[in-house]
Amino acid sequence: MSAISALPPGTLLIAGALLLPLLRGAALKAWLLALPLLSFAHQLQAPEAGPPLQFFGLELVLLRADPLALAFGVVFHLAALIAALYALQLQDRMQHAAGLLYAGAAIAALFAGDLITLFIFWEFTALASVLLIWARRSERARHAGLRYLVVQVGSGVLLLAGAALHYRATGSLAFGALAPQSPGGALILLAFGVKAAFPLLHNWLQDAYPEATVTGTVFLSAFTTKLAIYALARGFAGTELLIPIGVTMTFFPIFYAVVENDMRRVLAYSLNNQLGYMVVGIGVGTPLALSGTVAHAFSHIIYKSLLFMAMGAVLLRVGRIGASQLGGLYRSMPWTTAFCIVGAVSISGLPLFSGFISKSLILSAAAEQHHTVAWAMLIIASAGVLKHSGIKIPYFAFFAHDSGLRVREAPLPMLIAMGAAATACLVIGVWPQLLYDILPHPVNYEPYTAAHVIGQLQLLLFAALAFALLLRFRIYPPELRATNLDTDWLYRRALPAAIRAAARAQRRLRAAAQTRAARLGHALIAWLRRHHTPPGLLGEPWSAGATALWAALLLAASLLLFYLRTAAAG
Amino acid sequence: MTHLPVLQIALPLIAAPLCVLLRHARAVQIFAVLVAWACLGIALALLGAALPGGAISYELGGWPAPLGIEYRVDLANAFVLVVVSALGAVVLPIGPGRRGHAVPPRREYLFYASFLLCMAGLMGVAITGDIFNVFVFLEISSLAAYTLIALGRQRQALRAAFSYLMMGTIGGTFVLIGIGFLYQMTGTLNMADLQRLLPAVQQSRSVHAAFAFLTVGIGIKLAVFPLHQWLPNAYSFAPPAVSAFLASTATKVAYYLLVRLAFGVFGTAYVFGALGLGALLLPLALLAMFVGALAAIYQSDLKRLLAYSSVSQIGYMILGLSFGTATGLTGGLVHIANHALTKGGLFLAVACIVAQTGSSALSDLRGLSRRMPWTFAAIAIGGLGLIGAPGTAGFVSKWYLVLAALSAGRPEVAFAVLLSSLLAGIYVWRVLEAAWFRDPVQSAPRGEAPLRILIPTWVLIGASLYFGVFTEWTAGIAEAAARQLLEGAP
Amino acid sequence: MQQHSGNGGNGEQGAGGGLDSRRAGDWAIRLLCAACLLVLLLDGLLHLFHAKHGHFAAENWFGFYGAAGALSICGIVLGGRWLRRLVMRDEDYYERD
Repeated sequence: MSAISALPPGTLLIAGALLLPLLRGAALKAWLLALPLLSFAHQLQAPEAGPPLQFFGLELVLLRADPLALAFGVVFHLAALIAALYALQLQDRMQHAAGLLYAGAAIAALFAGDLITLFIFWEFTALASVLLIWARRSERARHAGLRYLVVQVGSGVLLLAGAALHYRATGSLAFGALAPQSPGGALILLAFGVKAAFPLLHNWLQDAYPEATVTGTVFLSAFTTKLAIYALARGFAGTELLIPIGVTMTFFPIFYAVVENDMRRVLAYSLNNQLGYMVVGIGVGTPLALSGTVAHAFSHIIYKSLLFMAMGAVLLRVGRIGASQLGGLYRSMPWTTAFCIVGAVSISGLPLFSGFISKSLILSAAAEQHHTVAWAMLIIASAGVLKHSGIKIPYFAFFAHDSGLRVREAPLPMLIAMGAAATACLVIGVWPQLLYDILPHPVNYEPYTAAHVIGQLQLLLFAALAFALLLRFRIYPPELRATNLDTDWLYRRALPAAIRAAARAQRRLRAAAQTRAARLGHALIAWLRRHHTPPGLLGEPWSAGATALWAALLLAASLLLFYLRTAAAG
Repeated sequence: MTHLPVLQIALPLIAAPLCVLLRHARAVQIFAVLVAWACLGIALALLGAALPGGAISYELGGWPAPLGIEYRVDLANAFVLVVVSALGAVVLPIGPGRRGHAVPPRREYLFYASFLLCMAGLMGVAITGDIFNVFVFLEISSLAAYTLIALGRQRQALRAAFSYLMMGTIGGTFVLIGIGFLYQMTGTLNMADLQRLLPAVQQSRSVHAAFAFLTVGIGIKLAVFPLHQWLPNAYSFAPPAVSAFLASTATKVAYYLLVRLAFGVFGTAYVFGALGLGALLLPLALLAMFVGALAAIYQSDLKRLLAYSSVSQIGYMILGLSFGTATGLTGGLVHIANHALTKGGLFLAVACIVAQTGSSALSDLRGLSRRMPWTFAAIAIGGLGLIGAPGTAGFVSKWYLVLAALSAGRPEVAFAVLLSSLLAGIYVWRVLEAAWFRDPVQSAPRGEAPLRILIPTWVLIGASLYFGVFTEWTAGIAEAAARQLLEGAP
Repeated sequence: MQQHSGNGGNGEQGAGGGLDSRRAGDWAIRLLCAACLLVLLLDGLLHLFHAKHGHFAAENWFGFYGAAGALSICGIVLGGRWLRRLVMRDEDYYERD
């Protein structure tokens, strides 16, 4: 037992995933549900710190269980359990394994006490999670997964480089508060920022999540970005720079969510917006703000996976997920509709639901520190959240106009999973102290004051009314099937276009090869292109004579170097 | 047990002609494998004896050192001996390959005899303390390697072997000329003696020339860019077992030799201070890293791809050497073992594929992962090792290289190492993409490769994973060996 | 099994009784108006009893949150219309060529 307690929680999930190929039928299902519970039991008995591990001269701390990690651990386990339940009827063993590995790696990363361990699990989450995208087995998903993988692995490389610089500067690899001004700290912040979908670094999220499988997106929505939030909260709490970044994050996805048609992509933008609140909380950095961040991550994971589950069920039954292609589904999927509405009001922050009691912590903390602009922007963004997740998602999927779709209700395990998540939203909303008690800093905050409740209701109701009127009078832009450009345009369009332009330029250069300069440039480009392909200079072995020539040249060069060096010294 | 050093060489050297006498294919195989395993046992025993830190000196025929030939075992070469003999012991059992092979069973003894000779030569280079003896063993190993490559079943194998022979001979000649200069200046061939006598004459141009000739000569054997041109053909046309063995050991022994000469015989201060070898090696190493990886990306055959990847990986080792620091040298030395395991495992996985399909073209790998999951799992892990993903042995080496670059005040070099890892990611991805994401071709084989090849593959790949996490036997020893060399052990 | 639906334009499904009919929409608007009036009333009561202590003065204005909500939505929707003109492309934009 002691050997297991020395390992970070989450490793049990990873090890358990390896047993999946041996199981089938009911045993497989039981194992899938038992593992998150076992792993949670593992977390409960985890000591505060595991023994340090020597890893070629570096001291690694695989296990550091402080309140911050433990709080995230609780919700990660809950999310893993709900997602496993949601995916239970799936016949795809690969997806089950990938989901467990991914959840396990994310949980283990929470408990990493040093940057190297963090990096290892950081990359592990990237590798395991991309399988959930590829499991869709479509050409689109393969390309999106590849783009996702490049970004995620790139974030890990940044982290490692930052860790190396940090180590060089401080001689320590411990993962604690980091200095964003130092080059190492800045690189690490950038690595976290990529994963937390900072503005301009965000697009991998909206690009990849909607392309994952029905159940894969539920897993994806829970772990990767919240791991980054956790890492930011640990490393960069109180970094003022994060406040404008966070505000921007809450803001710009709202507009995209208005025009986006793919409902799961709308949710991805909304996810990005929710992350913004947490990033603001980290930037404010007071105990109340950090607790608010953790609380908001907690409730966010649950209601966001609930919304993704509902949209996943729609995708599963209808086969498409564009807002313009849906509508009137409340007739055929009443339970899904109900659960989706619970998720929608939770994310909107309706009193009695989880979003209300967590978001207000962050807003209060921002107000207490007199971040007036940030506070005002967050209020506006709250109305936006209501619009894109609170109303748009359930309205266009289940109501709007009757699309004539008559499908079956979602499968039972999915309904149970959604029901569990909806219950959790309500329980946290009604008894907020349950959540406040596990936060890293003690919270002395009462969300249910008359002024607060009435203010929030006012905000939501007037916003809803405005939305309804805009829709009624056709000012609201109609749902259209379309592709909306985002920063992915840079690497999906601009970069290829630049390469094509370069190719065109080369062709023009060839055409203009009469002048000697152009001929030279052309030869250079041709040489560069040719020399690495098999019949080329460097792509194909030369004769022995060429090697002899090179050997002679190298000999001459080294002799020259040696003579010059010693002559200079002498 | 005092005769262990000589046994290490004498055993395979004597066993090779015995193989020719035995002739019977099966008997020769069993005999050769036993000899290879015995060599591994001896090498491990020597490493155990060298661990406390001293050097074991053995005088051949009882003649004392400056006149007679001395075998000298310290940490660095015991480490190399273990790597060479371990790779030999793992790879030899899979034999010259069965399917459509040019070597008829009645002449298989040639394979085993040459293999043992090659092992003897490579280990001899590592163990001897006599510089002329180095040349002799270098030629023994090279001649055996030419034979082994020529056993390949394609007609091009003969041409590859011939061009390797030509280039190898040029290299050997350079080495010999270098040794000649040294002998002329000092009158001794013993390395310890040379180390003692060289400082007095090190300003002379003959010594400069000696070092230049030795460096370039060894550079050819080591396939350092741009002298790497023999390598791709040699590795891709040789029988799979030979590719696996040569790719993982031959260049490593040449690397060891260069390290020994630079740090041990000529001395760090002279080589890196006065001569500035680092300034010559660093750009070559960087070029090798990038040109090798770029060329690997464009290859259409898995064996050639791996061969060009070797050029790139040799660049890493040279890079470690070029800093002239303990950390850099540790990175280079540990990469001997790590790359030997990774690349050996990968070439054995190619042997698995060739045994089932008869081809190693990337276009014939399509969808094969479904038919041969174990083989391609090995390739995936080995590929991650080439990239240097954490948890694999390749990460350990790169970690030291990056550390060395940073502590030498060259963050841009560290960045280059990371960048070339990305290129490695691309060529590894090409293989995995073909195997995993394409639909199988009609003629794809039904099943997994025979255990005879699969087990050695996984032994090496498993070891590369093990040493990616537990590093005291690789990085630990390499670090101690690097310290020993920098302190001036001859 | 399911027929393909039209695009989002045909919101008018006549006077059918479903929750997705136009009549239900009108009812929803009426309900929302009533609810808004109710919370405004409550807000007024709070004012009478001086029970509001926001961090910012604006929070204590009568109807502040309601105005903020309604104006935000209008701003966001108009912003979205403008953004759509900027970034919307055909559905197969990235698949072409």
